[in-house]
Amino acid sequence: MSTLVSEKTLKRVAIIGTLLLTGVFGAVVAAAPKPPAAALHPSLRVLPAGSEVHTQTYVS
Amino acid sequence: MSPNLQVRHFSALGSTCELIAVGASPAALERCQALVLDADARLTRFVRDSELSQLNATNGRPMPASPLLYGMLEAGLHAYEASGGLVNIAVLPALCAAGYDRPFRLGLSEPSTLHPPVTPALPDVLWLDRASHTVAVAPGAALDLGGIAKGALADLLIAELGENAVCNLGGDLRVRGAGPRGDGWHVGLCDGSAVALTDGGIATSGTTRRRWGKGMHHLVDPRTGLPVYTDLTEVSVVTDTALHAEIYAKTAVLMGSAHGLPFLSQRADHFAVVAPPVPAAAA
Repeated sequence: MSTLVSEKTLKRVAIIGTLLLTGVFGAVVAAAPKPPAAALHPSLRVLPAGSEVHTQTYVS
Repeated sequence: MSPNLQVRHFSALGSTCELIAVGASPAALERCQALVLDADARLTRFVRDSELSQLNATNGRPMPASPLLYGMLEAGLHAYEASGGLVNIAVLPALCAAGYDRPFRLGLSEPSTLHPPVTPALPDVLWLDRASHTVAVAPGAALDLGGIAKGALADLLIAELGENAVCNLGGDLRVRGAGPRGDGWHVGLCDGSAVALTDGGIATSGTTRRRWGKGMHHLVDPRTGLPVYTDLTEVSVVTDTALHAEIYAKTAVLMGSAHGLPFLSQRADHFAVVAPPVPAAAA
């Protein structure tokens, strides 16, 4: 049987295909929003060190 | 500070309480203080005729409970479930065996020998009948509401103080509103850090206060019946309610860092811890 496509051509196609897939899905991954870091509750904000406080929680 | 700021401090629940409100009337703070003092009288274990002491003395007979006591007992059962059984208000016999059998201000002594009683599973010894509001405690069992009462009461009473207030009952506190400067209520945590909060609860648990004898303290591990030995000496938790903050903070201290920190990461909105330095390895 004769070989219709040479091994060299197959390798080239495979490389080009890989590059195309990487480009397409890489772009999708890059465009996807990052998962949020552990978000604080909207009513909560961590204050800078040394901030004045109105009250204190403590062991009692 | 806002000119409309009202502040009130008083002693109750075995500690110092603080009510702060913007725009509330002095009468509102007075009423809230009266409710805290009434709750203290009903829920203390140190007065023979308090409602809690009467329940502890029923020897299994059902008794009618006030809405307040009933709500606190429900909170106790919730704490038991939410902590996997570690926060257990049925720990009182073990606490007394460790020496905490009178108000702390009277001075406690370490028992010469320690034979901690087994702490039962709370649902096995506390029965609530919602329809009749009757409650019963199994013979031999006894309850101490402790921090559960402080947290649950702060959640209950914050509404008395209006839309912009703090109800801080011995370090367990509930806040709501934008605070005096409009950027939330600023609350200091156990490690010296601070948060601003407009709606939620904060509490701290630990082993650094109410200590006596050699290493005795008030936080008893129901698994052993002894004051817990833990590598987390203080934990502050910020979450939706003061009751949940109290439950999560106490559970984390009882668990220690290995399990307590992952436990907090899954539940708390924010937390702070104090841990003693790890001793250097012997040279």
